[in-house]
Amino acid sequence: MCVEGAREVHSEAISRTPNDDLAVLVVWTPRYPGDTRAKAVDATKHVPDTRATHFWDEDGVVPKAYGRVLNLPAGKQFAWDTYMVFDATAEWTGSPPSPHDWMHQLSNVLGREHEQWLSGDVFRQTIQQLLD
Amino acid sequence: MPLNDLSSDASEFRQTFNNAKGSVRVVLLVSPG
Repeated sequence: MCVEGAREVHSEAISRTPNDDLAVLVVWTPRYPGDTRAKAVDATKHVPDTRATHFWDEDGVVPKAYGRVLNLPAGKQFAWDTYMVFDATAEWTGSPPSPHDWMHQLSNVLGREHEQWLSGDVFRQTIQQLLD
Repeated sequence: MPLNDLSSDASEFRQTFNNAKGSVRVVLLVSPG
């Protein structure tokens, strides 16, 4: 999944939501051998949106934090291949805010049959509902 | 596109996230592999 998921979210949701009140934060984090910062720089081309800010999270700080927030199963609390939407009031103060909604491609954690398995179109509709 | 390095407390991410308060935000957590 990985890059494919980012590409789907971009092509099916972000690029079809041309609204200036949308911000996109992409956190690239190493998960496989060979996942390097240089590889992440190249991967940014899959989310080429001008509203996007890209980060390299070498230590997986954000995925670990959201593994807990999203209540992923014990021992697998590393949220990657994970796509979240936050409403306009969300703020990260003492602890990370919970997303309004989220989807994933965590095939080995939650499985492909899980109700929140990524659908780019459903993800786009969720974004649009918050913008309306 | 530019890639911003996160420190051990991800303060750069938090700041960007909070600065965009007032906007709907999409956050992608992905690996480049």
